[in-house]
Amino acid sequence: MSDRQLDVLVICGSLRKGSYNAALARTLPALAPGGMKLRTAPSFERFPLYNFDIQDATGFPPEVNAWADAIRRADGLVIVSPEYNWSIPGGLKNAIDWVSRMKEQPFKDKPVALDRPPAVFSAARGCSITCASR
Amino acid sequence: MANLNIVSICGSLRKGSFNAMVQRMLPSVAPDGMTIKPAPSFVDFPHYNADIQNSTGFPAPVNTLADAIRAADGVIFCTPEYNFSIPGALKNAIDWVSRLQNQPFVGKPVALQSVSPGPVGGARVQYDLRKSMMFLDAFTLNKPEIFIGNCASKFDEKTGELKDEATRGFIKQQLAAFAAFIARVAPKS
Repeated sequence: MSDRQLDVLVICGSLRKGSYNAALARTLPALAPGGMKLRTAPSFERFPLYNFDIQDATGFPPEVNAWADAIRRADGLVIVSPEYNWSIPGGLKNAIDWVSRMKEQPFKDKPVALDRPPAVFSAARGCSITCASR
Repeated sequence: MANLNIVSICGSLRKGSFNAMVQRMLPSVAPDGMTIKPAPSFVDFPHYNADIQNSTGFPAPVNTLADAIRAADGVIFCTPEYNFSIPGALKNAIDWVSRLQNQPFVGKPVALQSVSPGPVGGARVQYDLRKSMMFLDAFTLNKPEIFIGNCASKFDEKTGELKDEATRGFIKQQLAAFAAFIARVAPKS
């Protein structure tokens, strides 16, 4: 590994306070190798539901820009997410849909790791979908 | 054939949506006895969060959509594909209603349609939607499939009308098949 510090952003797919995924996200810094700094992404909680008419009329909401900027600045991402109905939580997918419409699309060429609480075996499908959507 | 009351759910929220155009034309190609109405909108749903559900219960618009699905004999999704998958807003709506007791999709006949400007026509969103519907114990119609690709040339830009006769014919066939499917998997007593 080079001497350069890696700045990694952690995105949690669940919004609930007691989320196991959020708990896992909080554990990650303790497990990170030397030289890797993990920080939590801004919340997508206040993103409106994606609607091209909003984008067209008033541009990207500031929360969306803040999330996209944090992703762009990071050297890589860890997505920690529950699985809802055999797929990505709608809230997380909505966040991805918003930033995917930006020029200088923030996920482009971004290294991404997918993580999940080990006890939740079925979350594998959510992960594979998140991966396919990148 | 028994009268069938179907609700249609559009996956796009924009006013000029091609999927909404298809949703609006469905009644004109429905078989006799089938009524198709747009489901109540999910535009005011918050992002799913169990803390909301636990503190203040299900938001009113969530219950309204769920009731409409429960009361219907079948559901038709007309949806775009976002990033190879289900639009987040639509998935969020499904996530909300999936948490209700008397989960509205159980045993519900479902048909899928997608419209997109690209050549693939939304094949990937349909398979993801089919998968979520499988988990929710809905009965999703297998065929005919409706993928309306290269959509820009198939609609009248001014009126929003689906002018492509072949596509109208495909949709008509699917709706007839959907009526027969409902009679088979969820017959009205």
